[in-house]
Amino acid sequence: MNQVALIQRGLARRYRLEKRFKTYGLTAIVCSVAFLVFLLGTTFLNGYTALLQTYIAVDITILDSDFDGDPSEDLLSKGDYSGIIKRSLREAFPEATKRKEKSELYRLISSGAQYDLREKVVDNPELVGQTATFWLLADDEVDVYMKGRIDPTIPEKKRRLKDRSIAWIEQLRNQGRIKRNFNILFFTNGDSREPEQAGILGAVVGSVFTILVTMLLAFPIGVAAAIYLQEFARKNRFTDLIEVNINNLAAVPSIIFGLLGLAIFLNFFHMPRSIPLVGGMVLALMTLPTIIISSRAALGAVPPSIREAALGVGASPVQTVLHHVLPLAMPGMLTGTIIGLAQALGETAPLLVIGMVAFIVDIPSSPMDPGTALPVQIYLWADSPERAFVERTSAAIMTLLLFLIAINGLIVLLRKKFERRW
Amino acid sequence: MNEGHIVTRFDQELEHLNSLILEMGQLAINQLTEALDSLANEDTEQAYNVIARDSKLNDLDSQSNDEIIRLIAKRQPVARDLRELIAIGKIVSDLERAGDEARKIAGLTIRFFEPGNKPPSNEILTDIHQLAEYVCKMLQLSMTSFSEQNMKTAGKVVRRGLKLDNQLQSIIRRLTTFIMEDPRNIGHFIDIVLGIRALERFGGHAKNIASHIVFIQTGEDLRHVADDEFLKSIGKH
Amino acid sequence: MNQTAIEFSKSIERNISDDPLNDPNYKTVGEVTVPNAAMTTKNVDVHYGDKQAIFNVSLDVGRNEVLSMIGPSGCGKSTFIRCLNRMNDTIDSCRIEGDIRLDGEDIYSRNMDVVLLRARVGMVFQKPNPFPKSIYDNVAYGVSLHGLSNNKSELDDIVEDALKRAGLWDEVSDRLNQPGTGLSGGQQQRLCIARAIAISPEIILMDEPCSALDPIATAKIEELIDELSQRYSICIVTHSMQQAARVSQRTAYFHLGKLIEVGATDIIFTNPSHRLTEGYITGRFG
Repeated sequence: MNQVALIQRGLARRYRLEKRFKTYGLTAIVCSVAFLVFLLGTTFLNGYTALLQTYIAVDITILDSDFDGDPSEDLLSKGDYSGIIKRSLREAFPEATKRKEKSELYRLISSGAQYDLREKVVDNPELVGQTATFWLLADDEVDVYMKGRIDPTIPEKKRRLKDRSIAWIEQLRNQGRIKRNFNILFFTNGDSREPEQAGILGAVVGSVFTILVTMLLAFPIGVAAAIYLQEFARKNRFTDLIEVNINNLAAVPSIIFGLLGLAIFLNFFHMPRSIPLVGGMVLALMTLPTIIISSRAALGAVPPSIREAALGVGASPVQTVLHHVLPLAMPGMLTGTIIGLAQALGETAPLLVIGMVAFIVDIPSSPMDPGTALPVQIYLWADSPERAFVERTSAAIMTLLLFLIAINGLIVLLRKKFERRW
Repeated sequence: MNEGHIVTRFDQELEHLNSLILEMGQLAINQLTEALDSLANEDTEQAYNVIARDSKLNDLDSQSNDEIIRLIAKRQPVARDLRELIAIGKIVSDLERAGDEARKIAGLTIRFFEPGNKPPSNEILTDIHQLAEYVCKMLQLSMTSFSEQNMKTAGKVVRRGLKLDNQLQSIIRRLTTFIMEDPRNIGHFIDIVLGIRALERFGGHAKNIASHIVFIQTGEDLRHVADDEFLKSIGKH
Repeated sequence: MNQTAIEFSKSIERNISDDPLNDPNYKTVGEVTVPNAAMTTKNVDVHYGDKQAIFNVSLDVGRNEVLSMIGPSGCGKSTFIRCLNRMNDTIDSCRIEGDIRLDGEDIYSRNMDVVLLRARVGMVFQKPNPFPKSIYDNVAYGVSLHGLSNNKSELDDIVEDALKRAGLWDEVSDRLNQPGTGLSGGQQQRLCIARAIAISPEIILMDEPCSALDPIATAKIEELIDELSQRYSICIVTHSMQQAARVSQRTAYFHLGKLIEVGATDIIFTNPSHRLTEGYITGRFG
């Protein structure tokens, strides 16, 4: 009886302790979820507007004289479309007479609009000599204003968009000459100095090539190394040394791998700068330790009884590993690979060092073409002064996250497929 | 093998069984001595008591048998433990039969001294007393040997058994002279010979018990070998 | 090692001065050789690194006999049985000395191929360890690995025969394509036995094959062992003395790496010669 009383006395304290501990854990979870929601929320709020782009309708009259009176196909593409747009703008807003006013007027329309116009005219030569309404890409400042991110109440000197421009924009808006469309350019263009023309495709393709190279190098090499170390290597000082070093490598800052890549691939092998191939190789180096460590863990988790069973019926060690151990370890290995590749996908520092930070407008068509990667693109845009790049940075972050989810999804799918073999 | 089983309960159960055997042994010895007392004191009432008490021995016999079966089923004994249980089972029947022999002696008292029967002369009865003391000692030694698991003592029992035959011969010879002296003694003579025969069997059971003890110790079954070989075999161990 | 086994060993250490275990040249009680042995071992020492696990053990495995090995945990019986098909090769620190012969061939000689050896000396392990494949594939794996069948129908026959001999055919014939891991523990162990006998070994080693099974499944395995001993020589390590008594014709008692006593199972379990054997089988401290 006495003992029961003793235990009961301590019970309340024990339960309290338990409750407190649970509360700590719950608080930690709530905190991290809050951080995550805040991060994703702000990213989304900043970024979703990048999916819309402002267009301005301008009545444009294309004259024969714009092509020296001979609108042949050849000359159509050589026309001064920039001049045509400027002339049309002057006609629309005759009050702009001073030089400064005019240049302000011209700046309403993106410098890229002329190429769009040219394309349309070349496609439809009959437009020459007619007046038609064209929706032209607005300048980023107009776009930002239309998205309500410029406060007209702050002193004029402190903003790039002057009062006069705002008045014009409002006038256009009242005339129904401003609309916002889905921003397809963002997904089809490469990088650009002009925010309204800047797109993510170049970075996405660069990242795809880089990750492909990383995966093709790191996964087989990592798995093979893990198998050898775990299943075949004799335990001695040398393998211990290798093991310790692999563990250390996993903790080495990524920029060191970048410098290593710079020294070996660029300076020694004289491979070109800025190409996804080199980027992928560097990231493969960086990912290898992660893959090796997790693959070894996965191999180690395969019950020894399976190995014994295979050896017991007379399978050779290699057959044992290939027929029985590897299939069972595969899900675990793939998990390690997900972690490694996700890490590589988000890595910036080593890519900066090997020159994948260059400003590249063209979309790479192979791993040998200069390119950039998503995180680097984010870094570049985040660094740019134009306000319109803010939303594009966020949009790029969302793209990167989607990319990560896609890769994880793919590997989880693979994992499931292997796991289903009982 | 001084140390006990890891399962101490098994040891306790064996201990209990051993105490049952010792109790039976003591009872068998007491039955014989009391039967002899009744014979010496011509006390038929005591003789009836002895006969009545024989059922106690039978009860102990079945109790021990049950115990042995339970132990075999529960503990699945092997080696020495197995031999011990099997041997104890046989010791139990030997003791029970020894008790039966004691009962026969008590029956002798009733036959001789029941009112209306003609009692025999004391001279004829001295042999019975002598022989009874001798076999009683044998059983006592057997029980000591059992409780101590001592093969030397078991050897003593066998050695006594060797002499038992000679003693029997001389007693018969002596009794024969009594008959020749007075043929009317023939009725008593047959009873006495039967009594002696019972005592001889009593001794035989004591010897069997000794051989069971040797079986527990060595695993050799010496019940059916010649006595000198028996002794040789004990000497070996 | 469980508590009692530790105490048991400690009680041995206490009287080590008067103990044969202290003698490095301890000679096993009983007859270690048999005529026309399937496998012979002579003076086998096994070391794990600096620690010696087996001391000078000589023991023959007779033809078509069931030889059981008993002894307290850590006595080296499993180590010894694993020497017989070189399963200890996988342990780097393990060093084996002595002479082990299968049909007169030294199994540790350079000419002996370990894959071939394991095809001739099959093994069944403590925990049922079917491959995570179908029942059919489990049995067929070793057969196709060694190329013992020429075509599918021959393979089918071998699988069926092995499953029949393992007493499992009636229970699984309608679900050969289902996973072997879905069977009950006892069925899994019989599947492992079928897998071992499918490649027609000469000797089957069993390392505590029933320790993970319930009594009914154990009884089925024991019945199977009895039947198999008509065709194969069987070595079985077991923790259950009753099992050793039930299935084997000869019993070997190991203690702290030494082979204390070998003899006919009948004798060992009724009248063992060595006091350590007696102490162990009757469940006493030595």
